[in-house]
Amino acid sequence: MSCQKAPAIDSGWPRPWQVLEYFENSLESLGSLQREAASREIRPESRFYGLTPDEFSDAIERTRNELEHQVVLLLTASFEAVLKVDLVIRCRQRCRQKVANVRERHGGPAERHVRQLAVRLAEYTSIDILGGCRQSPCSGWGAR
Amino acid sequence: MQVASDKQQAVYELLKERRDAETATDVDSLREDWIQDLSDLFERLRSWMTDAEKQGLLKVEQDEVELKEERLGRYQAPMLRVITPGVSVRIVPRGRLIIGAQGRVDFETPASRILLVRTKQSSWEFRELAECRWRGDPLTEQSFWAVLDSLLR
Repeated sequence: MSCQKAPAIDSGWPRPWQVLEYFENSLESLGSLQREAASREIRPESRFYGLTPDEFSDAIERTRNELEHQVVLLLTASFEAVLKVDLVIRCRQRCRQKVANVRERHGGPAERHVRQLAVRLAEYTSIDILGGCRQSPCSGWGAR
Repeated sequence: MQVASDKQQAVYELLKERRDAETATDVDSLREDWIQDLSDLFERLRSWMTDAEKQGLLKVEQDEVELKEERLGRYQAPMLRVITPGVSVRIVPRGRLIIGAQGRVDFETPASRILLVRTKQSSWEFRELAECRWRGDPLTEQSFWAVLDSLLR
């Protein structure tokens, strides 16, 4: 049985502070758009050109609401990613440490267990992280 | 309080400046020009539909609609109703104080709506979305029939 390679963690997801920055930038853009519309400097190419003031306010309000919903979802996903990645890193370190401990304590005869642990470690890191945590292959093994 | 009274004075100055810049006569003439332009527009549109009306293909009715705008207040403006066997098209003014433009009239059916924007006095353009960009198509007899065609289909 060959040992699967653990998936690499993509570190490129937007961090919560970046989401917040995006939210504040977007709010400022909406504010600029409102000021532009108030001074009637909207160009004919704009999608807001030709709207009545009430229609324009509704459009801005809808955009702001949509932005808030979007940012709530982005923040939730971003925080979840922070927690999950942190968990994976900790679990991997712990499992590696346990494999090393078994090797050191039992030497050659423990090689079968070491292989099993290595296989389970690889499987574990590729499955659902939070679910896998509850059934960690390392829990209760080698800790004794 | 000195700061508050300074600010109060600044607001008073601003309001005076605006009051001097825009008198009641300005507002009245703005509204009258707008209504006159609407009457001219509807007369033009009716003249383009005379032939179809004579052939009994459609019927044009003129009516009035009440508009309410922040600076212009409440006023009555003309509107047209084009009644065809299938659908009736309302040609109804939406307001003089429009973002970026000087007035707007909507061509609407229960299913769709096309905007006719007054870019300056007596100058009208249909708003069209072409290749993801909004552009203006000047009001001509041809563009009018094209709009009617898309609304009636």
